[in-house]
Amino acid sequence: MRRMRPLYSILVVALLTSSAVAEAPKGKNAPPAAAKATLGKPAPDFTLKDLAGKEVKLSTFKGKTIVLEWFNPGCPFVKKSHTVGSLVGTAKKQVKAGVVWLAINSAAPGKQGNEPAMNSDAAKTWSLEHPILRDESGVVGKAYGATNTPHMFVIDKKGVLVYAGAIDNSPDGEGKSAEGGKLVNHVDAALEDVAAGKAVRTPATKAYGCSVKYGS
Amino acid sequence: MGRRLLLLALVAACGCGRDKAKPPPKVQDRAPGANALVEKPLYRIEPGQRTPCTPGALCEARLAFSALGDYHINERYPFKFNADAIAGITVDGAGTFAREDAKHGTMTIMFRAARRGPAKLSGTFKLSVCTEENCEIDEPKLAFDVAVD
Repeated sequence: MRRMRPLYSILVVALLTSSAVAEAPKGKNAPPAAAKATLGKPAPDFTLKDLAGKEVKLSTFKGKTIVLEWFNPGCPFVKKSHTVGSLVGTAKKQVKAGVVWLAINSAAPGKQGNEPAMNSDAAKTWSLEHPILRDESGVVGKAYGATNTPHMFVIDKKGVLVYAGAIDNSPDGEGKSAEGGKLVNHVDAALEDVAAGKAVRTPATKAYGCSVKYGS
Repeated sequence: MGRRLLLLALVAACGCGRDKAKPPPKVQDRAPGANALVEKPLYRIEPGQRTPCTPGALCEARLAFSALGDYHINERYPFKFNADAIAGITVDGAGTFAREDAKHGTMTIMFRAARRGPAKLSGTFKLSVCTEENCEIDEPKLAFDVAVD
């Protein structure tokens, strides 16, 4: 019986550990993507595949600040933002600072910007090093209320949605028509507040750009 | 005499020998390129209404914009006219775009001309039009005449 004790203990520990591993990816607070995203509430969890077919699960990044960028390489506003506007180098800079940056393409099959090759080409041309996730069903896009490309969301280290809206205040996508005169990169500003442990000063703005090319 | 009167009456009744008063063609009905500075399947830009202009005074040049087909004006997009540098003409700002309805608007460009006589303004018209499905941005270059009296 004494010999049985260590074996029993190992079995119990193993069972508890496997249970914890199985629970961890679900996340304690993150609702599934079918739930609607709300500012100040836990961001809905999702699992999507990147262009290489690798699964990416949002809740695995818990403890890190995350940016979600609704993306469509065929949208002229996305092109402008990535070639001359506020998205030039922004993701790279933020990733270097420890932020997780995920682009999400919710274009349905047959719609503008859906083709994987077009997305890969854009990533190469615009030197994007972050994953581009495919959401062809639009479930994640609709859960987050993504209406435009680009449409930006910031999730803090606790998994709470703290910013939703435009990349900046220049609706030409070029950063040359700033409303109010001074160009503000809303995502940079929100990330600055998050890093400083402050409440995001401007948690919501109206996104501009193309419509998200949902299937229905 | 009676025959002549009868003939005149017949001519008057059928309207023969008279030009029928046709209404002026609408912008949309005009032949493509008839008066347009830029004509594309998505939109058309034409010279707008001329206003008096004198040397040294702040003058207005107007461009009439029409979205074509299924396209409408992208309300959120800041339409601009970025003028080229032209000797003897100073352009104030990047124009003001006034949307009249979903498909029509007018770009007003304020300028001062140093000398009397015909002149040409040129520049880049920055615009965006959308369908229910897609938005497009375009930046056509165009040039048009202004008269300084």
